[in-house]
Amino acid sequence: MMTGLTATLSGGAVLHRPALRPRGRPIVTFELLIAAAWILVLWWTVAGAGSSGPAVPSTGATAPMPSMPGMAAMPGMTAAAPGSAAHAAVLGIPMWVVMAVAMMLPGALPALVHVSTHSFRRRRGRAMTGFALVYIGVWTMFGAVALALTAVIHVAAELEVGLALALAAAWQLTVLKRHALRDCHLSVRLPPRGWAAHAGVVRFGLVNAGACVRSCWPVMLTMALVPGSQMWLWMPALSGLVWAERFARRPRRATRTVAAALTVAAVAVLAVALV
Amino acid sequence: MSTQVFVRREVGSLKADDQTLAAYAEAVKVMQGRAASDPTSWAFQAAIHGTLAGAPLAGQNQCQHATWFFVSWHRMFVFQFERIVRAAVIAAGGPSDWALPYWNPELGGARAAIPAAFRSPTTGNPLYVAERAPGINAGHALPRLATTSRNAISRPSFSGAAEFGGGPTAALFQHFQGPTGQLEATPHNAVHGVVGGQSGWMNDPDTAAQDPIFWLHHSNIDRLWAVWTGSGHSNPTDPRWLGQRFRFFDQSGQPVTMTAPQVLDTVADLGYTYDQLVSAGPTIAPVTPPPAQPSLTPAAVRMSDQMRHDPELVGALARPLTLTGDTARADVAIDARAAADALTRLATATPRILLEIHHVRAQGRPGTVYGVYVNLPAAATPAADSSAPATPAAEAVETAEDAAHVGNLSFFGIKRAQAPGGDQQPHGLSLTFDITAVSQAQRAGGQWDDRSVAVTFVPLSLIPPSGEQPAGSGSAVEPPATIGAISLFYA
Repeated sequence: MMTGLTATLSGGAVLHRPALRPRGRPIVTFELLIAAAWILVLWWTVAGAGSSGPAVPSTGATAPMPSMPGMAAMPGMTAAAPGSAAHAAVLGIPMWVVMAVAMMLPGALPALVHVSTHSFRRRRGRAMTGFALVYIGVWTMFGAVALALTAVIHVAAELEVGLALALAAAWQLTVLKRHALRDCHLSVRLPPRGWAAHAGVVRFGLVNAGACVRSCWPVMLTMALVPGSQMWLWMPALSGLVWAERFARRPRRATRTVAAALTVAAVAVLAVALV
Repeated sequence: MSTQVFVRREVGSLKADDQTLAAYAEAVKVMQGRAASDPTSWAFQAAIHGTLAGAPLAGQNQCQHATWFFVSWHRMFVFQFERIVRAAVIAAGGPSDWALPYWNPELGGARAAIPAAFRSPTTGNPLYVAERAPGINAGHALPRLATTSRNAISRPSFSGAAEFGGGPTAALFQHFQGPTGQLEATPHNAVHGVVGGQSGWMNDPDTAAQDPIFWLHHSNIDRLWAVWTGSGHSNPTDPRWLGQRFRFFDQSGQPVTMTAPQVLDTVADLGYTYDQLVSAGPTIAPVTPPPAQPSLTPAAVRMSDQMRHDPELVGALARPLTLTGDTARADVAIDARAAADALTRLATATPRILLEIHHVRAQGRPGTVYGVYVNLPAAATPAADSSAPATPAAEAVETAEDAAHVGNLSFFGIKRAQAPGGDQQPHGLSLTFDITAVSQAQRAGGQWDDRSVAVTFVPLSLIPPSGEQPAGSGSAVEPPATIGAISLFYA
């Protein structure tokens, strides 16, 4: 997967083209980070799969905490006391961050190459790290909201997931989604030095992550609702759909294809939930 | 494929009694009379390249720019158009061996202006359009630096930064996104910009093909590709380039699908050739032979799609630069530590030097085409480039401006780039120039400064015939354009 993604290294005003394509792999650290995140999250999933029901402790008799995968297997997490939605969000954040790195950071690899190419070598590490922190930070803020929201929803998990998938499918067909996906490929100018350089990286991270959140929020909302025991299925599947449209030759066609796939998934899950 | 080989001839060489342009005009009139939904109509053919229509028909709005499909797509496009025109010519009783001529303004003199047949506002002349830059229809000549193919033809590789054909296009199949090939930048984009100006058709891909001169211009661009490949250069062998399918319509209006391998040899594959397969007419002879470029070594040539080294950023513009139609200069500071690190890493004292101009945006559509110069001597800075290719002898003299000229900035396509539809993404324009040879010549002449590079943008102006006044820019105010970033790389 990484090979395919990094074939789209960029260096210009658009993030998919190698105007000045480096032959080396300045983003190898981030590729390894993504790989580690996948290993970790899948390990948590497997470790937590033995428990029945949501892989995280309930916040109450009728209000399960956000079902982040394998959270029961995370040190300290099993001792989490029932509490508010905010409490639930805080508890789920570490897992969410790992999941965001695994699922969403691959889509930002071309942006990281842009940052690398347009930074002095001595600044590259700092600049790329700064971009990645901002990017994941934005996703984390979204995650906190999503986890808090899911903590106050009191319906069957399958129904939640099915409705979220249906919402994601519908979102795929909107103009807002199409524009957001296009904006994921925007770059911004990066001043070469000083505070302007730092500010440029932060701005780029905000622009890129903002577009990414606008494009993929229903999919990640679905991930916040998926039971831990099913993470091994949903995480790769939804990641594949996100990456497919992000790196598609024909994004409009890809978004429609992804919408169809999400619709099929939504119908299947809702059928299970309602039967 | 028919065994007959059609010959595309230089339009300025056609004899007074030659029927090529008259037949073309007649065919244009016939095509303009067809329903816009007819794929063989003038409107539909132009719309295949681009259209302002909100709901383009299937097969329209397909032009490929700033991708490595630029040359192949346009060869297919012009080839099918030529077949449609030829069918109309024959149907009207014209010559059965009719072939699309080409306009090579690089030849200079009178040929640097668009041919008289396209400028005559005689009632019913289908080759005339009013929507051109001021001065074009008065016979003003195109500036020499906008028409030169010297840089493009000298590129050793098809794809890669600052190479002949652009790309490679890795993932997306879009219209406007860098890197733009050198042929596309100059003369292609520059001629589009100069002929179209601020409001003319030629300076907008959505209207350009409505101007009958468009097709002769692209015939010349196609010829230059043939010249480049004919001089021993290699086209991409990447399956992504070879396998990309494009859809057109033949002379019967039937859809046809084409791929690059079907158009690589114009004679064997498509049945046409050119009367001259040489780089250009009068070329600019350098005062002193340029130093050998590292990128021209055989080893470098073999490295078709790859940079020899990672590009290392060594300098960048701190703040954006605004262009408003006048000469503007930006000083790009070279970071001493970054440069030293790069030289150490590259293990050379003479790296390849690349100048990237990117995040170029504009409000509206600027009509000015700027010559881009590196370390242009102050004494040589013209208010606007007005070097007329009046005589071959004059062209044989390289001026101080020529020695510092590295390319051109045209805004052809910027509207669509910034406000795209469909699968396109909004972005600014981006250009990359290889300035290695210029820098080495300047270093030898003591003009190169390892601490800073001055990048000057000089408007290229049309040259009026002797005794006439230069054309103004019309009443329209030049929309400002912003150069978001200029970056300097060692590679």
